[in-house]
Amino acid sequence: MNASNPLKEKELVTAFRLCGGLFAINAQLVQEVIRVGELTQVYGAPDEVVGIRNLRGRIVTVIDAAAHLDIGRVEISPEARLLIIEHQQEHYGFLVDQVIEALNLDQDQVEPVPSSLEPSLRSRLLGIWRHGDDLTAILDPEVLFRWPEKQ
Amino acid sequence: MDELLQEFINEAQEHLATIEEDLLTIEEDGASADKELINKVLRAAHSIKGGSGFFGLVQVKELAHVAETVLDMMRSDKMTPNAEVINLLLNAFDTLRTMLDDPASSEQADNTALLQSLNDLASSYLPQAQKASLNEDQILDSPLGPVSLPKVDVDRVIRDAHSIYLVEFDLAQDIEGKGSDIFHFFDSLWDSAELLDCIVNTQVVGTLEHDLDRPLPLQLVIATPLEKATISHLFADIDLSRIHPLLGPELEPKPEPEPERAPSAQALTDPAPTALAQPAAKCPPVATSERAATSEQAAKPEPTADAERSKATTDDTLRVSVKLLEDLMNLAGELVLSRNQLRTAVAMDDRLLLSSVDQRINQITAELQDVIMQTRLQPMGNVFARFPRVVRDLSQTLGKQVDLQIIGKEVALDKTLIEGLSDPLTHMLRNAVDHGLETEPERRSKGKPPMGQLRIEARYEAGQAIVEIADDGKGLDPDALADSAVRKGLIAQESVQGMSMPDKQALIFLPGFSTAEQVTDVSGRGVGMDVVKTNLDRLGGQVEIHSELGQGTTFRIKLPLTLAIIPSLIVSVEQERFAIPQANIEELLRLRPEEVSKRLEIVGDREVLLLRDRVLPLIRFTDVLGILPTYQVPGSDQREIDRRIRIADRRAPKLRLDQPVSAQPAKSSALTETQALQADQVVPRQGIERRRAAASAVEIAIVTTGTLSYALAVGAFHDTEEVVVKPLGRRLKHLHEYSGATILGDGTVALILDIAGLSSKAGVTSVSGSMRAAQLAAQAENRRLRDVYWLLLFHNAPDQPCALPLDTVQRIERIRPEQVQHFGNRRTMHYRGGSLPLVAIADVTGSGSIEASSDLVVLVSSVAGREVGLLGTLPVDVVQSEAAIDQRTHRQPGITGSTIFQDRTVFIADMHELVTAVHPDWHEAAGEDTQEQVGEGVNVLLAEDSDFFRAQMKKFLEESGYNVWDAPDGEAAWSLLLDKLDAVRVVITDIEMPRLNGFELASRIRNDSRTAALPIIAVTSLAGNEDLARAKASGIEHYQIKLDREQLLAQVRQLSQ
Repeated sequence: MNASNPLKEKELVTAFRLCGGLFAINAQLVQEVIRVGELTQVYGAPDEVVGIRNLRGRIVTVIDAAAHLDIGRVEISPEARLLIIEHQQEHYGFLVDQVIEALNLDQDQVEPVPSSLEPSLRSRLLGIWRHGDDLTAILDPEVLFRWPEKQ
Repeated sequence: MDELLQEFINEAQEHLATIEEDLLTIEEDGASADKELINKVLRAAHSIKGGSGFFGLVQVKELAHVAETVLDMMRSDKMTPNAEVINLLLNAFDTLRTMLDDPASSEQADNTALLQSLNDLASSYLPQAQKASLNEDQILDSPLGPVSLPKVDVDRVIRDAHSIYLVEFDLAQDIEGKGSDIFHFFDSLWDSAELLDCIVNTQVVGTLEHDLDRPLPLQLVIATPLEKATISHLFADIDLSRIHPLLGPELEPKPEPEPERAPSAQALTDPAPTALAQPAAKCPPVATSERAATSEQAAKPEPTADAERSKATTDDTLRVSVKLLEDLMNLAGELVLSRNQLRTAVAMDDRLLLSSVDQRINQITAELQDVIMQTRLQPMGNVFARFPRVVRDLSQTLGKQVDLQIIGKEVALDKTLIEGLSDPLTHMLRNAVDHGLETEPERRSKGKPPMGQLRIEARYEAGQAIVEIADDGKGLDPDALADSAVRKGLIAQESVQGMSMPDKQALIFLPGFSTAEQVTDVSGRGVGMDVVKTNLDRLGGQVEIHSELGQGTTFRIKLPLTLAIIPSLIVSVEQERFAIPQANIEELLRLRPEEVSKRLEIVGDREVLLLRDRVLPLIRFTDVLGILPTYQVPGSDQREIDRRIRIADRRAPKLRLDQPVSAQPAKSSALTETQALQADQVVPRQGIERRRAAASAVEIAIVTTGTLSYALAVGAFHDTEEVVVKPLGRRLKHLHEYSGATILGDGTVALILDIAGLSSKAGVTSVSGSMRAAQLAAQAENRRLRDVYWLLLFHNAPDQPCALPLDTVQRIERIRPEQVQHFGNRRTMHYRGGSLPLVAIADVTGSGSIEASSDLVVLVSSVAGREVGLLGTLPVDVVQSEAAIDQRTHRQPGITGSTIFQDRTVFIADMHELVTAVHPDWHEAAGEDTQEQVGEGVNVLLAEDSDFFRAQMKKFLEESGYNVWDAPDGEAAWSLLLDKLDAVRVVITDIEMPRLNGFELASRIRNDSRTAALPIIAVTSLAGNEDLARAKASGIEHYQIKLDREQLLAQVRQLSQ
């Protein structure tokens, strides 16, 4: 990782579970964590868009995090949550299997992403955080909400 | 500081918006231009100069100053406002506007060439001796240091015997504190003083990012005839010690301008080094002076990130009248009050109070919505303001004379609409000038006034806003358009036949269509009317074309008044709810299960709905959005995917493949067409019936985008709601089938359908639905022409409904029984000064005498050249019938046949037979009548497939003495004709007939030398002008309506003589 790495020395991240794996994203970006609630399906939408929902009068696009990272699909269980993340003045609901906790990320323990990972996943990660026995993939928020120009 | 700047810019832009029009008026009036108008422009330039000086926008200030100089010369009659002068000024104000749009990057703008051109212009009008004064500065001493002013200004002040003062002023304290704003301050200064310069202490106000608390010291150099004390008053009563006289009648100017002083015009003529290093930040406006063009092209602009940001903020502010804000405040107060009442009501569980609060909140919400909507409204004038310029520039380029009339500037529309309308309207206007209006010689040769008329008008109409663009030019030639569309492969030749004139004219909205043979650089820039249409669709607008060849074209755009809240119909499909904007809905209908197979058909791979005389492509919501149809599992809450329907879906088209006829539809021969149509109807119907076996009723919304209507099958209709449109996220923006989302009453989200987007997703894009549907529509139309007839229903005895063909009835009179006069077995009544013979059906049939009835009516028609009345009783009604007429079962003298209407047998009376029965002498008498006599011995060939019409026509032709040979189709008529080759004098033919239709029969007659000269009359039940061209091409010269007896007889008589 180079010097422009947005991860600070000690950074609070929100950790969540996705298809059995552990992931985390800068906690500052997460405005709130809410239950899935009632989703309106958008027919014809890209695969990772589960639907849209009302969040206090605002329309939120709900993205299946697992589908987006190309690692499977989130089963909407009672544990499932939406991470509300704002990106370019727009609100997204990031659907995950389960939110674990906020953790203090130790920058020193972050390792580069192994090249063996699928490119679609690798390109969206900042690094792999090894703490205790756990491996947590740290998501790159900048890349996360960059959509292909053309559909 | 930002706020101050923003305020100033808003003001300045508002003034700039009107300047263009003023300048154009000034140009038009030339030397006699209204001084007041020049003054107005001058004043705006002056205020911009002052304000921009204050904000350190040096480039803006310089340009405004030079423009002011030129305008001043115009005002003092030193310069005549001609096209060249106005071009430069327009250019200057354009540049000012661009720079003010983006003040942050305005300093990097390079206006050298423009400034130079303006300076050159100004100096060319000055006498030789004064020319130098434009580029020279004069230094005046002041207690605050030397002040450098252009010599030309100082000279003018001396000439006018005014004084020059330097005023120290603090804008933040002195203006803002007093509730004024900068633009208005400079504007008000104008009346009493001329602002020569505005010196800002750049060390304090160096950049635009200062906070307000700091003083904003400013030194204004003004020229005025006023005295110190008055000036103090002018400047918000500042201390006299802050006003320093620099020059005046008592103060002699410093005599000699020192040679080493740098001419201030350097700034005007030479680009500043920084300006060179950093090219202009914004696009230059259209360059009219050659020099300006080259230099502006050299500096290829690219907007910087800063520029983008500041642009965004400029667009996001809105000026709202204080009155509206006060209304809002009041309503907010009301709302708080009501909330308190609501709380009380809930706490006390007081039903009565609750309902009154509910009512109150309802009312406040409605008002609140209304007022907030008003804040979004902007006048159309904002868009229209550019048009005189656009039209002027364009008409100059094209060498056309155009008189542009603008009406309805004050019509206010939603801000979003106003912004979105600008491009489409400009494009349509350019089109009108380029393609619509003719050149002057062309107009003269057509006898039109040389000046082309162009009108753009906005007005309110029935809760909508209408914008019309009308020209008196060439008009749209529907056939040329259709030909062109066929040539370009946009539509098939066969589908042209079924298109009405408006359909053909709407072809210009097809993608890839351009009316001009050569794409000009004016309107043909790769975008066409299709883009205009798409843009208008997006705004919820509908376009209509009204055009008459040679007379001109009017485009009428209907727009919703606001976009943010739209009345919508909520529909549901498979548990999902969607909103359809009310403006898109034509009608709603519900097909009962037994109607489904009758009204829905499959044509090609598409379902169509037969609705009266229309054939509409049907879009099934579930199909187009890929929603899986489900059914309720009996005895549980579960819904299962209905696979059976999907399988049947696949089966339907497959069935068609076994039918070679329907797979090869219509090679334009009527024979094949008819068969194909029948095959289409018959074959898939099995599929549909099977597929609908379990289906219940179908709910259908007929929706329209303005040019395209289609049927949308949905699950169920719900309420109509006013929905607030919310945009979809970036990830979903590309889905054109939705125009946004809205939050329903229960808090869930519903998608708002984009009717145009949905149709293109479903592949229904052509102007009148799919081509095949258009073809089918043509046939449906023909069916209508053939089989539908109008009947006048009346009653004989109360339970005996009777009818006369409507065309045969001239008038209906209500009479009293005693008005009928008896004489033997004949009846008459006084009518229009004469005596009207009356007959009754009972006279012939012997049943149901009605003479004593109080509901007596007389149906007046003409028999054998005389008026006769038929007695009947109320109720009388005019109905359209498609049912067949049975000419056997109830046939008897006086009754031509019967038909079924609303499950009852209706007897169709025959006036001729009735009259003959009662007055057998009339026909002998008619023998003297030349008109009735004329047909004697003349042989007429009649081809008509409808038994009823054939019998009717045959009868009245024979009554007029013609000898009629009749045939039930074209083929039979042809063999009959060959048989009686020399005898037949006139051919009368129906158009739609089996085996050989009227057109084909006519062509055959014309192409055979033995029959080529025969006159042919085509008969239809209604005159449809779409068929006229084809009729002409087939050799049919005459058209008549079937039961218009007098006309048809007159025509036959004329042709047979």
